[in-house]
Amino acid sequence: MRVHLHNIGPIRDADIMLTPLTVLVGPNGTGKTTFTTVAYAAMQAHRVAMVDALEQLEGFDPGGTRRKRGPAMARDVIDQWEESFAERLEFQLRRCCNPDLEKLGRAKRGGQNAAPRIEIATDQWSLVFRLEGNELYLETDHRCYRPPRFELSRGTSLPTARAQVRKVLALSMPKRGVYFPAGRSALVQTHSAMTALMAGAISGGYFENATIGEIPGTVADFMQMMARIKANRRSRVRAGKLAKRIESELLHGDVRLHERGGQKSFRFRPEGQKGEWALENIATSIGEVSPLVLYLRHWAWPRDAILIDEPESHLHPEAQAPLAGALMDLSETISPTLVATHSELLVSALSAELLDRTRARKKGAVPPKLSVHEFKFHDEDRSYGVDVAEIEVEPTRGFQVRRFAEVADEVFESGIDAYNRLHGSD
Amino acid sequence: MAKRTEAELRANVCDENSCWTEGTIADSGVTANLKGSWHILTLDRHFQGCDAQRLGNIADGVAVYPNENNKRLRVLELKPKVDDYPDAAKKLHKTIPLLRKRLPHGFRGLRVDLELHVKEMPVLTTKLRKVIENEDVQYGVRAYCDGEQV
Repeated sequence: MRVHLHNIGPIRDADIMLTPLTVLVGPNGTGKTTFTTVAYAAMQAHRVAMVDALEQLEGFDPGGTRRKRGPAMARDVIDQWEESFAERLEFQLRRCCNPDLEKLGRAKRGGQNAAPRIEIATDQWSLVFRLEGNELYLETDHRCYRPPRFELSRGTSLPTARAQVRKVLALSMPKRGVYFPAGRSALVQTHSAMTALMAGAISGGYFENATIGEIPGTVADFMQMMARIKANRRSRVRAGKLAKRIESELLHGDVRLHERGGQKSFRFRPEGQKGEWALENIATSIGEVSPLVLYLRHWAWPRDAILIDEPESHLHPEAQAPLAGALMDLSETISPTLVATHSELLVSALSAELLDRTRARKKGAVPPKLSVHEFKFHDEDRSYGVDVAEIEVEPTRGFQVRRFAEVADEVFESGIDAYNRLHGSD
Repeated sequence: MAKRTEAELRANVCDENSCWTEGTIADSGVTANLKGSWHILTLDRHFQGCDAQRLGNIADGVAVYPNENNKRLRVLELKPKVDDYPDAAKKLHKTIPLLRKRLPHGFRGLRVDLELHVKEMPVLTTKLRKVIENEDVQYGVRAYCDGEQV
């Protein structure tokens, strides 16, 4: 899947092909979350559009006795899918990014007129959407627009046709996006209270007055996932081993899910101790990482895509190295993963993991696929916006994010200067 | 500044052309490429052979750039890998007072950088940044491989 944003939020231009592990780095306010959220919105939109396209296909008549058949039907399926995609993408962008799309797209950039666009593409198709005012339009006359192509002939059975549609429309698109927003621990820790508040608001009839509707879609979906996770619901992928590894290497304890009389609670048992603590009464780091463990045990599906905003937050550096290993495992064995981070250490540990895994592979085997993208404000004028550059990742040399090193060097240098000034040396 | 420093090094340490090199310095299989025409006094070689006063555990070289505006004095130690830092630190630590004594103005007005040049690229890309302290002055140590900071 490829996501190309042009004049969206702070981003002037970001064209990123999602790889099994995609890492976004950059200072605050450069649009990493905007990019991640738009990618998530597109995944959610595609999911619904696929259902609509397949429903449209139900009208396909292989015998050819009805009016609509063959190429005309294929065209109808594509039209339905495109229309549905545009409609759902607009809805998801309002939900997840900004209810006012005029504020999401930047019609002016550095004093110049700009055209806000979103391009979502796979090997098979490329859709271009234009943001104009508060509306989103599918732009079929754009040079990058490439509709999907397939033909449904008269003799094709419905299951074959369905498979064909799925192959063209859904190939290299994740089936479902799962978003882990920044500040997860706060959401986990207030989860019970929020659920009670929501229930109270509904039963008290004043739901309309509660500000729950103003929670961004990404956060609402995350909370919904946490609310819908059940002890007896198991993942449809084998992720138990990875969940266990995260528990032992990162959390040093077990995350547990208790259900008694319809009441659900997330609990944590530290290694070597008998007692259990509710997640709201324990270290923030546990609250940050435990949703990933719960997802792996109870919620993971094949062909999910995982989007994690700041996976390192609240983690001590000594926990960030095993986190890098877990992210690599996650992307290699479970689902493609998109990560937005500020951590030099996490990035460095990912580079070390890449080298280690390349070394461990048999000669000629494909090394792990990882891409790193740096979000950067224009050097001279911030109003010009943010451009994104791909950092070279060499499986046998690793990669470096120079800006991290520059900042660390500046801090290092100023520490030495301050010390020497204090002690009177020049 | 740099020309004066080079002149002082030539006058007070060694003026033999065999003890000076330009741009790169090599020792026991490790080559440090300073990227530019840095004039390098090969300190360790000098104190092992040229100077009657034999001194051990000294940094491999000290480099100045022949440009008046350049205030850097680069003290160089060559090692196979970054993990050899503790041994390199001892040598760099011993070299600082030696150089300061040999330069008539000490390090006044100079920016002293201590550098560890390595052959093997380290696995972790978090850069080596250490501090060596001598007589209440701190000096930063950085590591390089193929001329790039590592």
